[in-house]
Amino acid sequence: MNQEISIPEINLPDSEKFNTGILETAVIRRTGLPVVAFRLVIKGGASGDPDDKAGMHRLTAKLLQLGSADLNADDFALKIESTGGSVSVHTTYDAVVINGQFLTRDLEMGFELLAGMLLEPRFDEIEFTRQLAKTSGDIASIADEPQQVCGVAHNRNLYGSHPYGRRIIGYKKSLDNITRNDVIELHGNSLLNSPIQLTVAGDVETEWVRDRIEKLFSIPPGTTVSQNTPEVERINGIRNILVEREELTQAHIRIGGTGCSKQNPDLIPLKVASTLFGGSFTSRLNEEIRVKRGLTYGINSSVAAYHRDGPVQVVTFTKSESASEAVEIILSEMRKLADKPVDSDELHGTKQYMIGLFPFSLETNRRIAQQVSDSRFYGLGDDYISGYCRKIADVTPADIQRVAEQYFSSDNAVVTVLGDAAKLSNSFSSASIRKIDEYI
Amino acid sequence: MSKESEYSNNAFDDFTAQFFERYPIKESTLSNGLKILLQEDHDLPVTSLYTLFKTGSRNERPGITGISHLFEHMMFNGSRKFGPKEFDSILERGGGYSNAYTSRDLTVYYEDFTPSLLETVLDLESDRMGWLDLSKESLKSERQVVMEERRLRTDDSVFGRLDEELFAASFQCHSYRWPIIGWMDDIKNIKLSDCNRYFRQYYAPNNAIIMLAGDINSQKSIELFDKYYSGIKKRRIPSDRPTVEPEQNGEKRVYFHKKSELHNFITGYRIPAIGHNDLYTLDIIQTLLTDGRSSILYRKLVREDNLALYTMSNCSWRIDPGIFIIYFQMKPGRTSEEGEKALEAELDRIASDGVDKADLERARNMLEAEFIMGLQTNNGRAHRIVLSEYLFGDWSKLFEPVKHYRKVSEDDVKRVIKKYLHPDNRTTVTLIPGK
Repeated sequence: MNQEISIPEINLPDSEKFNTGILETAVIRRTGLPVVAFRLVIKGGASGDPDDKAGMHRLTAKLLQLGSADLNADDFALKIESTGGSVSVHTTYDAVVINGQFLTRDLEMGFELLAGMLLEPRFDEIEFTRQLAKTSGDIASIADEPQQVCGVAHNRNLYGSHPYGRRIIGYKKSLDNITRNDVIELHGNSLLNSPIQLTVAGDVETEWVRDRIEKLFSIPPGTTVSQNTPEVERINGIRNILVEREELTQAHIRIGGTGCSKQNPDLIPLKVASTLFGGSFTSRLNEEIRVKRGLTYGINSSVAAYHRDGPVQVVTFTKSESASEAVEIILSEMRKLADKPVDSDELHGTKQYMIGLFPFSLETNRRIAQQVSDSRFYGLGDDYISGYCRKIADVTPADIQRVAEQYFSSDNAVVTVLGDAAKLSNSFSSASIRKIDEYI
Repeated sequence: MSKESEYSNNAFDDFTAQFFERYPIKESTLSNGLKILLQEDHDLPVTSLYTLFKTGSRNERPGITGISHLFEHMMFNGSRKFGPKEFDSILERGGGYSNAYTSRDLTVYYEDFTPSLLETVLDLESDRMGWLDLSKESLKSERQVVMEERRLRTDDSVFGRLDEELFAASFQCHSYRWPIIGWMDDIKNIKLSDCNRYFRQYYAPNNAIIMLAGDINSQKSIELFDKYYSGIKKRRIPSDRPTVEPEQNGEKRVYFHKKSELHNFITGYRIPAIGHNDLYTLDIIQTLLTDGRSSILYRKLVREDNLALYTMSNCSWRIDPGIFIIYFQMKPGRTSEEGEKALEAELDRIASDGVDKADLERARNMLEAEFIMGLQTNNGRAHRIVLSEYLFGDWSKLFEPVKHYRKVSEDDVKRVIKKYLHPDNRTTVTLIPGK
């Protein structure tokens, strides 16, 4: 039966774009609450860290908000927080990202601080030392978060020595190799030399933004830096890894292989397949593992996509005694997804779920800035957001089966289980045993 | 008054006035006592529905601790018109999402959905409010799920264990002492008859408030509410009165062992219930102490003294007197003892010397901005408004907290710290890493 998909009408203002100085800027004017969000994206992220200096991009990015021009780190923080505004920096494999949000009345100051961060960071010796120590502490603290450790381990097991297998935060050993000069050079030679995009959304006029950008960011743009991330090798066969962590009542499980890149047209059908499989309460995995058997409080299938192929993975946790049962069911469901064409009714429901909830991802200025920024950064086209629901609606059962065979293969996947080896080693006797320290 | 304060007052007053002009609220109360609030917003095709029940873990007793939360899970498992699993199936396939949470004082269910699904959502929600179908099978399954949730959030969690021990020690007799998720033994032994009794006692229209926000027509929506909810009978709600916790007259301390990479501790100070004006000052103190990189404890203990990796504080507003919590995760090689000494020194310093004018202004502006930011989404607005209606008894008091924050003075901060954040009013729980 050909079921009609209901696509809601979304009237998002067009973004107005201009290039000025070092920035390629887009402004989306949205009146309403007196709030403006901005997102600045610098091409080149953690995948560009040298192997022995993993964490370098992230450390440099964090230092951007620890003092600039005539403001030391404390004064910088106080200046932002005194207005109730916020600025945060994070690093992905592909980029360094600065997010900011201010009440409209404080935006001028927000832009001034942004310019200071980007163009005149101080990289004070004392802040470098403090941030190194903090990062080292953050690395150590993950050992107390079993879910996170499982994620880190699974990434390494999946990608091996590829940059995507590294921790963006780095490692105890790699941090020891990073010097203050490394950070200064990375900023001057690489970050400022890369394409930088700014996306602004909220209660602000484009001309006002252009005027401020011209005054504050007037240095010439850098020469284009190409993204040198190597291609990702596909997984061949099944790899089972048990990571030991004592005194846990539960086992944490991650299963999956590699997916596709952000620009790959497979991404949309893959997201639909993933949602159908494990991305909603009525998904197959939730039904089998949580609802029918009560084995977990949460199971989720997700797809991440970067400049190269991101991971496709199922994430869950269950008492140690049920871990092998859970793994078997997940692999069995992966086989079913690939072997049997999906029912059109089930697919219709999944698509309607995704389309119905899509407008919620545009409700705040911060979310709009993120959506527009991502589509610009990855070159997805001006109609990516407006055409998103239609693309979801057009996914067919044949598309689902094709991407399931390719990306949800139960014969070519990594299975990472983290937990108390004393309780798990019998059930996972064929697994390679690893220690947490090998990953962090 | 500084320029920033003047600016702040004008901007906030304009915002408050514009907010209710732009998003007016309509009220309706059905004959069965169900209060309904509605707010239109046609910017995007989105709608959010909140249903708040005035019951939480506070209303439980030993033997059935955790029933409010377990029951929250059971609400999705079938009703008179809709069989097991149909609630989520119909909702999601129509373009909607549902979730819920249980706290010590209340239980909240919400849906985000495409506007065309409104009548369906009201049909689903009203059917389970009025005619929930509880079965042994669904209890058995949800019990397992909740046990896994407890293992994740408490048994295997450093913070979860600290939090649970803190409440258990801070309260000798009040029902705030047990965890919202319940003790494991109680979760295992709650019976179907317990669940049926709980539903009859607390899940009534006259014990609920509903808020609908988004791309709706208020008049048509009221008609739909009448159509689907009027048939639900009101019930006599028990007037639960948990045992009043006696005054604390000395410090309490708890230690426990758990495998952990770092030292951690948590401390709780007894504070008043909703209705007491000191809560506004305590909110300011929470922001001053740990919100943001310019907060007092972050600057001193994380950055300058290199003692702590992470710190947070929380002042929860509760129906009965609660606790003000401060949590520390220490840096590698630093101990909880060092952290406690440093914390006490800072609190003594503020009690004696007060805080900078600039710091106080910062805290006020952060709370105000956070408030405004939280109103950007229909879900955020619906949540805040339904909570205002319940906790203040009046949704129009939505902005009262921010008005009070502006009045908090440096002397208030000193007074309140001396009054509440002192050792004799404190319970401290320390995790000792290892066996």
